[in-house]
Amino acid sequence: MKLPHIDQSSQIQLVQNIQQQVLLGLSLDRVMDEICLDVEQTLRGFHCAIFVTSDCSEQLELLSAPTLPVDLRMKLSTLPIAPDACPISRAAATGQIAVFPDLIPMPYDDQLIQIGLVGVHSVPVKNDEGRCEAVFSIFSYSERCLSPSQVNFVESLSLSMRMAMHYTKSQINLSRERKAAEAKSKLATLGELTSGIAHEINNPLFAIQGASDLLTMICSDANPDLEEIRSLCAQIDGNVGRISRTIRSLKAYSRNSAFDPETPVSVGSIIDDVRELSFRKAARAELGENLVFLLEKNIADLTINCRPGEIVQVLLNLVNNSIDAIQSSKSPWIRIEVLYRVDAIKIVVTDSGMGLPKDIQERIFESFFTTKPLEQGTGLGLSISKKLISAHGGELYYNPRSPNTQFIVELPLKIESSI
Amino acid sequence: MASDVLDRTSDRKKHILVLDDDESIRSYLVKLLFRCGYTAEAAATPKQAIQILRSNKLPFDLIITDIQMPAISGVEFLSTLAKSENPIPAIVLSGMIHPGHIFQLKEANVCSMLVKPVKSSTLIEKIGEALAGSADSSLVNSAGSAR
Repeated sequence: MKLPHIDQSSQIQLVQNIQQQVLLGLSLDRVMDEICLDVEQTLRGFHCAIFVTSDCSEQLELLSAPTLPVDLRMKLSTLPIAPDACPISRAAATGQIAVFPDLIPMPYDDQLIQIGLVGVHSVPVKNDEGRCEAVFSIFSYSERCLSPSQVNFVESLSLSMRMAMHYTKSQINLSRERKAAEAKSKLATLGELTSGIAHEINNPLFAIQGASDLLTMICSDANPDLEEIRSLCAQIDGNVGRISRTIRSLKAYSRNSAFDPETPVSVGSIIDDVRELSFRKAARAELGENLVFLLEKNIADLTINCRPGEIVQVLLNLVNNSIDAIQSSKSPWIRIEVLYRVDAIKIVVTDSGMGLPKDIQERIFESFFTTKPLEQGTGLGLSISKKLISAHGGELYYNPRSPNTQFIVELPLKIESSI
Repeated sequence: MASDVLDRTSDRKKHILVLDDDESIRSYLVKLLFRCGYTAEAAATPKQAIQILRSNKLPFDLIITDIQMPAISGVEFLSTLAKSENPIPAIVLSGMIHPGHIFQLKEANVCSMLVKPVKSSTLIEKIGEALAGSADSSLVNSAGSAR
């Protein structure tokens, strides 16, 4: 019988396929299924299976065997790691290639013959510490055994398998971490919102409650002071307006606007919103006239296509960060400049801070990275902001060349100019 | 208005310091306290409150303060104050009290923690309780005042 020969190019091809599948980001079992099918196609007439050692128990679990009959798959679903249970268990236990039939008869030979197998070739896949983390097995139902070049090929696959497992496992861990981070981010945002809502709504509610209590007391006065009554009514009015504004901005903040169409809006109206929304915080930080908005001539009337709520959110976040950073410093100031560029508008937010240290610069856009106290920052503002600006085809970046702390937002001009 | 001095009759009334960054709340609290027979001064920031306390024109019997404030938080303010020689009892009045702060606040001579909004009647009741509970320290203050 002429033994099939496998040339080096088909080996290289297979390794490349494995790499490609790993890079496609498929799940570990999908990648392994693809590997098995590729190997079977190269070997012709053999069945492949991949077993992995479970992390906590001393067992092998069948991960992939796309062409193996169901009953055999069931039988092989979990196997002990033991030198005399079967060639697969033996490869895992000894860390050596195990074959059936071997030169020396093994205790499991009869069982394998009973289930109709005529050949098994098991190759251990070891990790960097030399621990066997998978077994790659080739099964044969016909009289054929692997040719020497096929044996070489199967054995050479061990390294590619190791690489594939390493990458996919790290990808699985990454996606787990990402999911956990996303869940945490939702919770953090919720926590931040709850605290914000509590402050922004309970304060005016309390002022309303207080005014109403005072009005009740005044009603029992011998000579009710009309001026006082008017002033209390005005206070109720003002605080009701404050609550409704908070709710309006919360609605805009909490809804997912990613699928909203971009609408034409003037640069001036965006800046006005930022000015209004940052006013209170700036006043509380006693910034007064040291929060400056500088708009290049005629730019306020320029109409840009964007999702204005998102742009306002980003700018507000930058201004809020600046306020938090500089409010306890000696002479704090914040400057927001809106400038024309050839095909973009550039919004430069600079504050009196002396810039960020290099290690912080590198991490500033990472989710959950924050330099603020626990109850003040979630470390999400800048990472979300960057995402929002990218979705507009623009860019948000830190300018390390500025002597003061400076962030720049560039928005491409998809404009109908009204000037 | 940064600080409202309401009543400084020579007849010593209980004197209360109000600290809140919200103007309408400061104004309401001062009016309410005045109606209930107390005297009060109000500050918009912990910095101002410290200035008023240092000016020491009239000793304070109670502090009513918010804790969510920029720059110095109310928690920090109260903790610093609690270390002084004659710590003044305090009532915390806030839109939200972080559970993590409760222990710290109790350590800082806080007798009541109230979450806004709260009825004036409840507040008055709590003020009465706080002043009664601090009878000793207010006596010391009264004795210390040049009356």
